[in-house]
Formats: sequence, structure tokens, C-alpha cells
Amino acid sequence: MTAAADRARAHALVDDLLGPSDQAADRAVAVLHAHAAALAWVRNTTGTYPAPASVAVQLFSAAERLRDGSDGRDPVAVLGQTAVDALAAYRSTAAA
Amino acid sequence: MTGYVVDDLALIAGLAGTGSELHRRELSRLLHGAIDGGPTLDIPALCLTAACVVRPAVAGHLADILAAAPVSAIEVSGLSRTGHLDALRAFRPELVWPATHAAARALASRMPVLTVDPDRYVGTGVDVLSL
Repeated sequence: MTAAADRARAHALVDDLLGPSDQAADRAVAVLHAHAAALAWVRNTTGTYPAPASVAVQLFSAAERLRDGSDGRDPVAVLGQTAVDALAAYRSTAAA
Repeated sequence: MTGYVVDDLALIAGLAGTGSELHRRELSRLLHGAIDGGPTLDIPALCLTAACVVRPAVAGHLADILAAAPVSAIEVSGLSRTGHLDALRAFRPELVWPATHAAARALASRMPVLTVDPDRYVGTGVDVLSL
């Protein structure tokens, strides 16, 4: 089998098992990926894992609003900015 | 490489019929994404075992998908004795083994754990995301 045929078979198996995705799931996964990317940015910026607790809490809250529809903005932009702001607040508190 | 460690609760919610329709479709989207070169999925063996207690056919279905997917897109990872495992057993001895395995994999890979119960991982020192 070619790689393309393998991939097509894998996709078909997922659909057989779980059914296709839909708009709500696509949005939830887009938020998930943006949340993971924001955590990765924090990790790369600070050089530590996991993210500081206060940063994680703010990212989690923002992600919840994006998932439940109360915030319809672009998840990458929202969670990216939340990470920047939360990390800055954490650092200013830690330095005080 | 980015990815997620998928714990037993997420597997059970998505694959064993105990979760919501959204859980099932989210997991579908994540599997499709991993097959297409998106974030990888690391499934700790003890998490898969726990899911199989609820729905035995899960292992076979996931193995079929893993075997057809590109190399390393979806992996079932083994449990090894590491410093992370020792630390988790010392600091969170009450944590059930599937969760301990997921946390150990997350600490080793620096990937977040994907679960339906984020509170489960409080105090484990891992990043957690909610399915």
C-alpha cells in the first residue's frame, strides 16, 4: 500500500469508529490547539515546564470562554495575548 | 513536534461511549489531524488498558488506526521506571496508575495531558488541557 492509501485507510477507520467531525468539534479542537500553542510559548519563553499556575489558570479560563461560545474571537490571537499578559503579570509579581 | 498525551478518561469519553457527542467528535478531529501531520497523540498503555475495561474493542480499533497512520502520528507508549515516575509515586501516591502513567509521559515529553478531568492532575507538575 502507498502512504496515501494508508492515510486514506486510517481516515476511513476513524470515521467508521467515531464518525466525522463537525463544526462544534472543529471549533473545540481549534481552541485546544491554540491553548497548547500558548502553553508551548510559555514553556519556550520561560524554559520551564509546566506553565506557572497563575498563567495556566488564566489560559484555562480564556479557553473555556472560547469553547462555550461566549467568546467568538480567533482562539490563536486570544490565547496568545492571554499568555503574554499572564506571563508579564506573573513576572512582575515574582519580581516584587 | 507538538502533541498531546491522551489519558484514560479522554479515551473512555471519546471511544467507549460514555462521553458526549462532542467528546467523540473532538477525538475524531484529533485523530484525523494526527494522521494528516498535525499534533501527535501519545496514548499511555495503562490508559488504553483502562479504556479497554469499559469497551474491550477499543484496543483493536486504535491499533488498526495506528497501523495505517504515518509513523509516530499515534503511539501507544510503555511504562518505564524513571525519575518522573518515582517522583509521581512519592508525591501523589493516591493517583491511579493510568493517570500516573499519563503524567509521567507528559513530564518526559513536555506535552500536555488531554483529559476530561483536569483537577485529577493538580500537584503533578504537568500542563493539562480539557477535551
